[in-house]
Parts: sequence; C-alpha cells; structure tokens
Amino acid sequence: MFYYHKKYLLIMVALAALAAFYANSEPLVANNKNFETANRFLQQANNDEKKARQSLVDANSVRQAISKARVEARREKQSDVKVELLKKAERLANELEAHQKNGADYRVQGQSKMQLAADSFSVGLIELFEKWIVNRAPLTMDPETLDYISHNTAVRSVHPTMLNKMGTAEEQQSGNKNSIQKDNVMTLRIASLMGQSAPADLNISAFRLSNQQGYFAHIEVHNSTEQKNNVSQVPLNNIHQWRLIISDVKGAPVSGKNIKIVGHMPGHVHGLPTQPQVTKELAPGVFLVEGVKFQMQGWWVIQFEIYDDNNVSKSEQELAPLDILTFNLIL
Amino acid sequence: MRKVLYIIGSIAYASLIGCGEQKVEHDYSNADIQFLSNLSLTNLSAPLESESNQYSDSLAAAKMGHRLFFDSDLSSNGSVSCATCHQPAKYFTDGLKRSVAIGMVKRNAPSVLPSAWSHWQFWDGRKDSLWSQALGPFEDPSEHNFSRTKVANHIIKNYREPYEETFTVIPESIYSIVQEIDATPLGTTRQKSLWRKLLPEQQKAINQVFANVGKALMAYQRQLKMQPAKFDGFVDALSTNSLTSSNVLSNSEQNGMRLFLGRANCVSCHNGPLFSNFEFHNIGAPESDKQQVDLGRFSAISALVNDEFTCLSEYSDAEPENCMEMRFLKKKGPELVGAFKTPSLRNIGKTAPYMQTGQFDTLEQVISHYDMPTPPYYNRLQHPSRPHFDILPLKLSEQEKADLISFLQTLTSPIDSDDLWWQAPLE
Ligand code: HEC
Ligand code: HEC
Repeated sequence: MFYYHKKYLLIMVALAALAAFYANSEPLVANNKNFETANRFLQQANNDEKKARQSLVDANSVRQAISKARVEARREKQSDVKVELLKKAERLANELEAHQKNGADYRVQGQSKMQLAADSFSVGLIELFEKWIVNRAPLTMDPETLDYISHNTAVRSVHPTMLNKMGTAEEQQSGNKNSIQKDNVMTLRIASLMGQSAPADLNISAFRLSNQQGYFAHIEVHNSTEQKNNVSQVPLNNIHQWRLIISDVKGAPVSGKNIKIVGHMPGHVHGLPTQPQVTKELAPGVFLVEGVKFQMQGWWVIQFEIYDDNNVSKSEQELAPLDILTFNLIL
Repeated sequence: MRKVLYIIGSIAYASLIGCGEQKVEHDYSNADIQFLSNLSLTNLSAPLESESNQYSDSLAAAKMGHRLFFDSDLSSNGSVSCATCHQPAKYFTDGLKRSVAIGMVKRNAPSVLPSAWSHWQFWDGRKDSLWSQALGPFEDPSEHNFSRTKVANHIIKNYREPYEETFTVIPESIYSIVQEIDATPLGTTRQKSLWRKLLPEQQKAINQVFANVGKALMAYQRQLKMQPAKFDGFVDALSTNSLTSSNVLSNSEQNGMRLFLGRANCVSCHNGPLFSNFEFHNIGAPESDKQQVDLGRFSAISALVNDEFTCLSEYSDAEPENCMEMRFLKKKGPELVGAFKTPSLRNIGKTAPYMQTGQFDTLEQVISHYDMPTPPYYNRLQHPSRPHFDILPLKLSEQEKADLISFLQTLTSPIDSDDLWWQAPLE
C-alpha cells in the first residue's frame, strides 16, 4: 500500500512541475517550426533507411558474385585462372563487408533520426493541442484495479529499455512495474506476460507516427469526461475512455475522419473483449474513444484505422484505410 | 465405482500427509501473500453495480425474490421452481449433466452463487443482467414451461401486496387478460398469435410485471453469500501470521495451488476471489452434439441484439448511454466461435459434472483434458470459422495432477445452516 501512495505522490509532484513549466514559459518555437524540424528529420530518417536497404541489396548481389567466383574457381583446371578467381572472391568479400557495415550504420543513423523526428513531432503536437494534452506518459495498468484479477507483475519480462519517450523521469518510473516491485520478490512462480515475449526495444510511447507517415497522434486515458480525472493508468476489466489526438505531419489537426479501432495481444488468439468506438470529435483533431476495456495484463497492440469520411457508402470489404496508427502498450 | 475412487483417494491423501503433522514446506514472501490475498473471499468486492435494476439491493425485492425462487406454482405442472435445478444443498446446481424439468435443457446448470459478479449470464452470456436472465427459464418449454401472462396472473393472485409495495401498482385493466389468456411472443404459434392480439399498452403492462419479477429474483440472488473455504482460511492466516495446524493447507494442496497460479496457468482465466474473469474462451471441451454444434458466444451476440429485456430496453432503469457493455458489445471476431464463459471454481469439488453439457464427470477428467487437450471440433458446414483454441498442453506428472485436484477441493465453502437465504422461505 505504502508503495502506491509514494508513487502517486511522485506523479502529483511531476504533474505539478509540468504544469508550472507550461504556465510560466512561452513556447520556445512556433509549433509549425517543430513540425518542420520533425519533417526534416523524418526525411533524413527515410533517406537513411533507403540507403540501408540499398546497401543490403548491394550486399546480396556481391554475395552472389562471391559464390559464383568460388564455384568457378573450384571447377577451374588451370591454376593461374583459379588463383585469379579466388583473388576476385576475396576482393568481393571485402566489398561485402563494407556494404554490410554501411547498411548497419545507415540503419542506426536512420533510427536515431526517426527518434528525433518523433520527439519533434511530439513537442509540436503538445503545442498544437496545449489545452488537450494533459498526460504524456506511456499507458500502464492501474495497480489498484489489479486486486481483482491478481496477475503477478514483478516477474513480467518487460525490458527496462523500452522506449518511454516524452514522459518525465518520474512518470517513466511510475510506468515501469519492474522499478516498483523489484525489491518485493515473489517466490510463487506465476506465468508472466502470458507466454508473450515483447521485444526489448518495443516502442511503448503514447505518441506515434502512423504507418504510412501521414499522421502523428497521441493517446491518453480519461476515466470520465472531466479532464481532471485523467491518469495514464488503465483500469483492468473496466470500461473506460481514451482521447485520441491526431494531426497530420504538416501540423494541422485531422478532422472529420472515420476511425475504426482494433486491438489484440501478440502471441494470443484473442482481441479486445469489447468493441471500442470513436463516439465524438471533441474539437478538431481530438477524438473521444469510448468502450475501451482490457481483460488481461500483458502486451497489447491497439490500432486506429483512419478512413476517409466520404467513403462511408462503400461496403466494408472495399474500404482500405488511408493510414493506420499503431500503439504498443505493456499493461 | 465413485466410492472406490474416493477411498483410494483418501488413502493416498493420508499417506501424503504422513502422521498428520503438517508444516509449511513453502516460503511465502510478502509479495506472494499480497498476491494470494487477492484471491481470498475476504477480499471479494460487492456485487457489480446494476444500472438497469434500481431494486437490485432492495431488501423488500430480495425477500419477494426469495419466495419466487422456491415457488413451484410458477410452472405448467406446478412442480418446477428455480430451486429444482439450483438446489442450495448442491451449491445451487443440480448434479446432472444436463438439467431436467418439464423436458431436458440443452446445457448443464451452473451455480448461481457467483452470478452477481458477472456482466453476462448463461454459459454463452446471451443475457446482460441477472434480471433479464431470470425471465428465460419461465418461458422455456423444458424448464418452467410457463408464459409471462401466467407469471403476471400468479403475481396478482399471490404477491400483489409485496409487489406493489416494492415496485408499482399493477393496472387493473390487465387482471382479467392475464387470467384468461396464455400468451407470449416467444411461445407456440397459438401463444404468439394471442400475444399479437393484445394492445401495445397491455403488452407493456404485462412485460413490466414480468421484468420486475426478474428484478426481484436478481435482488434475491445478490444476497447469497459464501462462507470462507479452507483456501481462504489459509490465505487469511498467512496474511495475519496466524497459521496453525488446523488452517494450513497440506503439502499436496499447496503444490496444487502453486501449479494453479504458476506453470498450469489456470489463473489467467480463473482469477479473482471467485476464480473467474467472466470472459469467453474456448478450451476445446469435447463437442457433445456434432450434428448441431454449440457456437457459444458467437450465437449469443444475435440473441443479445434481439433481446427485449436488455439494459438498453424500455424495461431497464438505466440511461441507455450508461449501458456500456451493450453499447460496446463485441459483435465480431473469430474468438467468439465456440467460446464459453469461464465458470467460477468456487465449490468446484461439489458441483460435478463439469463443462457446459457435463462432458466430464470428475475433476480427474477435467485435469486430464487440460493436461493434453483436444483441439476444438471443427465442421466447416456448421462453424462460421475455425474455432480458436485458448490453452496449451501442460504435460503434468500424475502427482501434479493429483495436487491440482487437492487444491481445487480446498475451494469448497461450508454451508451455513443458519443462513436463511440458503433455505426455502418460511412463508
Ligand atoms: C430446468 C432446470 C432449470 C430451472 C428450472 C432454472 N434453471 Fe437456471 N439454469 C439452468 C441451466 C441448464 C442453465 C445454463 C443454461 C445455459 O447456459 O444455456 C441455467 C443458468 C442460470 C443462470 C446463469 C448462471 C451463470 O453463471 O451464467 C442463473 C443466474 C440462473 N440459471 C437462475 C435461474 C433462476 C432465477 C431460475 C428461476 C426463474 C432458474 N434459473 C430456473 C437450469 C435451470
Ligand atoms: C483460457 C482460459 C482458461 C484457462 C487457462 C483455464 N480454464 Fe478452466 N475453464 C475455462 C472455460 C471457458 C471453461 C468452460 C468451458 C466449457 O464449458 O466448454 C472452464 C471450465 C473449467 C472447469 C469446469 C467448471 C464447471 O463448473 O463446469 C474446471 C474444473 C476448470 N475449468 C479448471 C481449470 C484448471 C484446473 C485450469 C488450469 C489447469 C484451467 N481451468 C485453465 C477457461 C479456462
């Protein structure tokens, strides 16, 4: 019990500090600046990724050339030609190594640019929706509601390096179950994460760029329509509300779209126990999501499929989403 | 045969605990104890709040519901009551594979003791409240084989005073109708055509009485409480540091408990103090009728959408926007096919046979199934899609299987002979 109190205290302090910070300071840059920066990083990230992929393609063709040269060398009767071919294979092997290294370097570079882009988009979004974005931390499960289901959280295999971008240090800590309970060891060996193994570098941020890079969005939990009740923790086995806040990558709120919600647990055969829906657009780009419920702890993937509103007359099969926003949650 | 098994079982049990000296072989850290206490009856919350039944916690309604539950005049042959199939002495079950009253019911009778904690009623969850659920058996030809006009007539004749004190005045205009006409929109061709001939306001007045009968039965069932079982005594003693030889679980029971929570992973569905998440899963229990497969939750969805007595209906006391479970009802998804509601495991040692049609006679058979489960039966002509399968083989040793069963036996609550709610009312 003491734990929770301490934790809430930390959250309160963090939120108060945050509020003070935002109340006292003018935004340093106009929000379109942030989106401009973000787009620049995004473009660089995409270029790096393209180069990384090209390097891998190049590496592949070099690899083929190497094995061709080696096969030819093996078949070759004349020894001087044979030596020549082996030398060629060796030269190519060096080339291959260079391509592979290039590919890996570009990939790392691209990923860090992507992170910079996401950070800038997040700052831009927070400025754009200053009145609406109250909680930036990744979603977690409310420990108080766990009394009912009694899953163990201490032995879950959540990696401490999961990308918790945009939360304060306190918020991040409160979102990390391992840090809460690490000195409170369980001897009961309770199955953890329900047979799931989430990758160590899983991005669990509450801010995400869409799959086709058309939109940038944020989710947060709201247990009632009253904004002050917002927490980052979802209650287990209880229907509750979220806000979904979307802008396009140029920094304009996304309005009048049809949004469908799909959720599942990787490694499990089931999805969400309810069918959540966007029931209202509270302001341009701010969507009220109702009917969200989780019946299990673990790794959840929640996707928002964005459809053009003009397409409503089409049958379900014909519809393809314009884009999809994907959020990973470790609850 | 059962007797022989029991004797062998108790010999094995006696030899396990040796000379009767019991000690805690296992260590329990504070975190373990905290975790275990979440499963104790001591920490059971109040029943789910009911938006759709404003009388759900009314004592007057519960008292009337108590009488109704045991009233066999609410049936076509005068001998069937709810308690026929939900017998207090059998923890509100009937001990049959499939229930029998006027005819044979399609499924096994679950205990009603945990029902007030579930959003959904019946194995497939085709009812969204206990009051709406209670209306089903009355009009089922193999159960009470009654009709809503006959129910209303019986209320006017025998319960008018408590009814009107608790709910509202019954319009006299329907007195003679319900006395003379046997009608319901769900019955035989004749009953249906008689129902159609009634005026909408007459239908509504009759439905209102019928719905309130359900609300009284719900209020009654919410009063049913369980005594702490051996398991609860153990956990409570662990938390208060007061373990004695009389409240400690045997080694086998503790091993079984650890398996249940750990490697066997039962707790992922059977969790909380009632050992159920009350959600829908397919564990591949054998299909009992391959000619007409049970689609479980999948077929319940259309039943719910078409039901006249849901939270969204005019007989509900809830504002429609507060009917969250119905508004956000999951209507599609392959995991609905052949899925059934996780049953509570409270008193499980006393409520054989098991599963939705009593496919398993004993806990041994249940555990063997979980150990090496058969995937769900699939018939392309009958199933809308291949049923999902929610469990994995466990490959337990014989000893581990026996331990799991010993643990399940510790979930049996003693029956309190002084608890009047558990007995037929005195009249
Ligand atoms: C003929 C036997 C029979 C009678 C009579 C009967 N029931 Fe049942 N009851 C059953 C069966 C069988 C089921 C499960 C049916 C299903 O899931 O399709 C059931 C299910 C239930 C459930 C749902 C429990 C759960 O966990 O889903 C409740 C509550 C209940 N009955 C209460 C009542 C009440 C109240 C009455 C009297 C109005 C009643 N029953 C009359 C056999 C009976
Ligand atoms: C995936 C969820 C899930 C898991 C895991 C699970 N159960 Fe179940 N259990 C169910 C469901 C659903 C039913 C009812 C199935 C049916 O009727 O077809 C059930 C039925 C039972 C029953 C029969 C109850 C009755 O009243 O008929 C017992 C006993 C039981 N389970 C014990 C266990 C044990 C022991 C384990 C661990 C080895 C376990 N369960 C694991 C979901 C689960």
